[in-house]
Amino acid sequence: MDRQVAGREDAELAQLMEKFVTVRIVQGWGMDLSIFQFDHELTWAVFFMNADKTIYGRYGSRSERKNTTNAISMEGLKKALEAALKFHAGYPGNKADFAGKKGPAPTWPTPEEIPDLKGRPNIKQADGTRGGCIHCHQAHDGELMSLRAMNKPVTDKLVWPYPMPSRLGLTLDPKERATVKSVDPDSPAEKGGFKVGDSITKFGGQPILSIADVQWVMHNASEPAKVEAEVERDGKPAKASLALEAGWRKKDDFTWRVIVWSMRHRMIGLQPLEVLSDDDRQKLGVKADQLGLRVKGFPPDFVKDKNKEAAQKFQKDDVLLDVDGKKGLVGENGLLGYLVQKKPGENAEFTLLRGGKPQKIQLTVP
Amino acid sequence: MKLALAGVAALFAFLGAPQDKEKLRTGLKDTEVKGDWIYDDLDAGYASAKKSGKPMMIVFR
Repeated sequence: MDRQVAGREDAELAQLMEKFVTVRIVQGWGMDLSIFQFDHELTWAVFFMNADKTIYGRYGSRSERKNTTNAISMEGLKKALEAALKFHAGYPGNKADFAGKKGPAPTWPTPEEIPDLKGRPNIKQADGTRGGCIHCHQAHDGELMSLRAMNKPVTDKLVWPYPMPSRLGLTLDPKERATVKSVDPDSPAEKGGFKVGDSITKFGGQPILSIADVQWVMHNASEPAKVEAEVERDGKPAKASLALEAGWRKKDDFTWRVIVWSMRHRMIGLQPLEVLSDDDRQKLGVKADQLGLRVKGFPPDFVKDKNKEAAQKFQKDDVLLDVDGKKGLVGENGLLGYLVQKKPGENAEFTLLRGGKPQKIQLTVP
Repeated sequence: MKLALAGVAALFAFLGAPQDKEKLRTGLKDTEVKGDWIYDDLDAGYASAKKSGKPMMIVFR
């Protein structure tokens, strides 16, 4: 996608892009976090803005580790560009509509001021050559880990950011702006009245030009909440809504994110855990509400000291069953999400199977 | 003449010297970029959008 856009390979896209001032940003250093709040862990993202810094919308979504482009498309991007042009044509008469597109004041104004990222260099060296740099994704990692270190609350919003609407049964078509592709039976989306083919024009009162815009509204919603949507259905305006219950964000799976490596190394000192197969669960007597995650290995040398205690206490082929007796945590998403929200210095008691026998080990959460 | 040179120098200071951008692009192996991109310089983007009246498309890669 980046190559196609950077190289203007698609003639129709190139023609649309001619109507914009196009800017290419290649590093996070100096990024104004009061404006550029988006899913920083995307490998590629777009902002549409006015020269006065009013944000028209965002483009760029992802929900899987391997398939990085399943939620974006050239067709969808072109439709987002067309929508941004329409928004711009109505500006400044429609300025008030975009107020919610700017997020709350950030904790730190730029990535390099985040304590966990202090000392990272600016990519632009004095001679213009490449130095080290702050990658956009490090802003999220740095913020979360810095807040933990400061004993500040690590909120669900921080651990499970920019949730995809599909987690609430609302799957949007990546080839459109924000058109409903499917609605899961008995889901919040179905209960809220969404229908296949609905084109979401406003969500939470904000004009929508992409799936990322829908994610933005969900990301910033309070909880519990009911987000109202204006949709176009069969050429006519209609309304729908999405109920966000308390704790709804945890239904999302953040394990595709780069941050999971840092979390895993710091919280449990391990490499990716293997999810037990149904057969193995049955053989080992792992219950449905237990984790069933097998230790496969330990981090490479350059990060092996992130959690020395864990590396000493866990063994290869240990099967993790629960932590602190907590039932119902699902996968690494549930385990790491639970641990990262504990305060540094607290104990975590793991129940595990070692050689088929139950054991308990205690770790201090770093 | 002096005034014009000072203007060019100020513009380079504001936009970043083109050869520096080229070095940065080369260093990043960001060689697919074609067309009228403002490279790694948001302030220049705001100024250009203000002057042209066009909206901005800002790509983070």
